[in-house]
Amino acid sequence: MLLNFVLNRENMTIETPGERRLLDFLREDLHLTGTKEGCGEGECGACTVILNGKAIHSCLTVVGQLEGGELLTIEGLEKNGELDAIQKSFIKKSAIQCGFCTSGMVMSAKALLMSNPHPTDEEIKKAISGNLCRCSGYKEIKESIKDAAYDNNQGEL
Amino acid sequence: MVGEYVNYLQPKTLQELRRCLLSLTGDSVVLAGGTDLMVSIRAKKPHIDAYLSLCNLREMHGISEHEGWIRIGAMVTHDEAASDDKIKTYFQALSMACSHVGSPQVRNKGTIGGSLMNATPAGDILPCVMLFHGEIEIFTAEGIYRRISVNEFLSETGKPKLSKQEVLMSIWIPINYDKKSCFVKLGSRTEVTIAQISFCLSWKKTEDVYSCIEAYMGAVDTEPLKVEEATVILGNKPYETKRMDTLASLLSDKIRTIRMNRKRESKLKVLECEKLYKERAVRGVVYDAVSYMKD
Repeated sequence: MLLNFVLNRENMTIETPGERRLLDFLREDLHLTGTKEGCGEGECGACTVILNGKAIHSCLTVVGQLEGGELLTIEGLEKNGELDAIQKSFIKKSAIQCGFCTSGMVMSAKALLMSNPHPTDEEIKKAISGNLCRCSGYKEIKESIKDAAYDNNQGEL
Repeated sequence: MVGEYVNYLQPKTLQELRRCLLSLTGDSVVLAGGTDLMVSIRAKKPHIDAYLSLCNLREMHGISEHEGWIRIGAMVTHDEAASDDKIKTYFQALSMACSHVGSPQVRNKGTIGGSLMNATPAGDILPCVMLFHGEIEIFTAEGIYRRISVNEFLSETGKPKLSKQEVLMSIWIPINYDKKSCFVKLGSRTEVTIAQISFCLSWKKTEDVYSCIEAYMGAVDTEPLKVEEATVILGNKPYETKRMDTLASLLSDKIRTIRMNRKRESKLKVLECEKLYKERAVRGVVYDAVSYMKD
């Protein structure tokens, strides 16, 4: 099918099989390898991307479902060479060990802050409940999200 | 099979949908959100000749009110349903159920129609639709709409009776302005969990008098179980310990009977002590559900 969508703020038109898995399309066709494949069945959240403002699993999405939509991947967070506040915060707080879950975790956090700039601790916990980290634990991750919200709001929290 | 042609259909109008429906075969799949279907395809690797994606059909989206009914489009996501004010106001149990389906990513993509068509015994949506006496609207390749009860919608095995030339268009639920409801799910964890037992309850409360209590229990049999005895047992003082225990004992007996009559072996390795888990845990589920009636 001829697919029209917005990828990381840029219009895109591409001929691709509609039933192709979004995760494979991103990694193999577009070489956007920041999105990771973990379980491949919607349990771990490593493949999380943002479609029309909502966090979704790219492993459970086919590219046809992108038609007319706006997709944001981890590669699209950086603007003019500057990392997003949530990425900076993950680095500052060392909320990363092996890093495999990080891009999915960051995208879930970004989706939360896009819709809710002032999340509570409980809302942060719920927003990343679909993202598994098997090495660092969640304390630093939750603190990073809280700090990014604080920075986004210029200390208003 | 590598290199085999697969037809991907994504109609934008009902006219296009009708043509697509006529072209489907036994090897075709209908794609709603995809959160169940994609997992199933990955696990079973079935031969698929066509995908029919419903995401671009305007008629399948949105929640609206029509003369005492709420219409929920089949492609409404769990997240949209959970956060909708009309559903929060009139069908609290459905809102609660939708807000605990899977993870945020699953709720953002999984749909109400997809859940009903998947009709897994552990599904959270079907017991709620039954509790509220919802109706299923079906659209056919001939362009005909028909509305049926949930009981007519399901076959004896608990699966939808739709043919390949039919799709679930929407769910219609009558508004009962006087009733309140709740949904409780017991799983292995609080978030991202599959129900071991689900329980939904509705009631009418006028001053301190409770009436019209209805209840359904899910995830214990192939389809949700109506608990006919709930009104009599809970009566006018549902939160009395004795009444809750009586209901819990009854449900425990029902679960035991289902287990004893089950012919097929469990697909999971279940230890002897684990077989009794649901029968014991149902007491906590009843206590949690009844606690909502106090408010």
